[in-house]
Amino acid sequence: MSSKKIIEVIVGVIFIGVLIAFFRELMKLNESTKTTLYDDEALKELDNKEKRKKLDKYIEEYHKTGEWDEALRK
Amino acid sequence: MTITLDFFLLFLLFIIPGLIFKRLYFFGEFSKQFSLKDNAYTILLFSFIPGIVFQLLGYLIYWLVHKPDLELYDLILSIRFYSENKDATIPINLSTFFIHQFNVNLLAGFTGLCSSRTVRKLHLDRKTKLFRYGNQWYYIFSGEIETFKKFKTFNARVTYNSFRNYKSNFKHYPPRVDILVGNNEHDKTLYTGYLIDYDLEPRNIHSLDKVYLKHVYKYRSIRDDDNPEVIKKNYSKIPIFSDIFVLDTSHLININITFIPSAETEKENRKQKFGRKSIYRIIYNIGFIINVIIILDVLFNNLQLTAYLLPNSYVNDVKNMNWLMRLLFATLLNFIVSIPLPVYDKSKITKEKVFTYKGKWRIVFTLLIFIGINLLILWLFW
Repeated sequence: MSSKKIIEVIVGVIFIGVLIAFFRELMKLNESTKTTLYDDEALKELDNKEKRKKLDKYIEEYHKTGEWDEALRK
Repeated sequence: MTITLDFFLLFLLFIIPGLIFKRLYFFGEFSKQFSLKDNAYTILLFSFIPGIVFQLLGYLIYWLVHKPDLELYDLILSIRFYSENKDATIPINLSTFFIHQFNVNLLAGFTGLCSSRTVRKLHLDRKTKLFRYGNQWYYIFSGEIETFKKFKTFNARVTYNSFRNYKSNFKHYPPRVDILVGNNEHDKTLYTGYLIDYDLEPRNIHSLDKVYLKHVYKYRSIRDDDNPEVIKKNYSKIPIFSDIFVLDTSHLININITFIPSAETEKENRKQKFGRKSIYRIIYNIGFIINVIIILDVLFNNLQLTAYLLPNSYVNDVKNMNWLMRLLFATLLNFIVSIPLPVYDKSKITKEKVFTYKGKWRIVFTLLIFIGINLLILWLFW
């Protein structure tokens, strides 16, 4: 195999690698810029009665006083 | 016939690439900004403008890649005046025209896809109105409004981390909303609940049509048969048991939105403002820009800028290389520039990317291997 052929193969492999990396990044970019309002996990936690009660109390306290009560977080 | 052919050409050359661009630019929650239900003149005009840009770009690429022996736009003109030709022959390069047109459409679509994602990724839509999408309700309900210049004095920061749950990795809870709806002064109802989703009015994307709530309560005046548990001081707070509560907001009076703050996020933001992380980010961005400049300079600018940093003998050698070898050389320089740059900290789950030097040695080791391979190839084949 001539040196020209070898370099063509190497550059070809690099080019394919770069293309794959590019599309992988593009997919990642697409994933990270999704415009969903909230994650499913957050909604699931909201359905948990205990956690929701805690959240409700935490927010209601804020509505009353205008301050977030750090103690209610725990 | 001429008018029909003119319109057909106008549609094919400019309108279709513009429409494709717009369809892919307005994505996800912003997709309602692209609607074919709009006035036909509006659609045509606002597709025509990007269409011209893509047609010009397409021709520029065509001109750079091909030898300009085939004058593409002569061909278009010959199609345009086809019916007026004495011979009335179909141009033989019609397939070239359609392939080129397909490429222009592909370019428009790809640009639309990439530019919209870049705008979101770099938060350009939050930083400047020029890039902001029309769906203001998305920015409000997602909490992104908190990062707008005018709203940076929020009392509380939206929780991008979990609420005292380090195992979960979601960004924030849906906000609690208090929504007052009513037709007149005497007919008002207050609902409160967690906002899950919303619909915009199809004809006017600035207006809310419906909101979807969970764990809803309704406030009303006290009645005799009310359960003592729901009676508050001056009103009754009635729970509405359901899976989803859809509220028509055509008679919306006001919405009070509460975002749940996160102490962790506040601390993190403070650190990001003055800490090392900001410096790491700047170093990373500078390195990225230098790498882009190097590639462009080596490939297209005959090393005019890189010549300041490299010995003349190297520069002259590289100038004589073919483009493949130049590409390899540019990659080599990119690897060298990347050595001192920080890397993404994958362990941090935050809204903004965090950079660090922890674990950098692995990247440096990989880069050194790549540099070695690159040097070997250059040494062997050039």
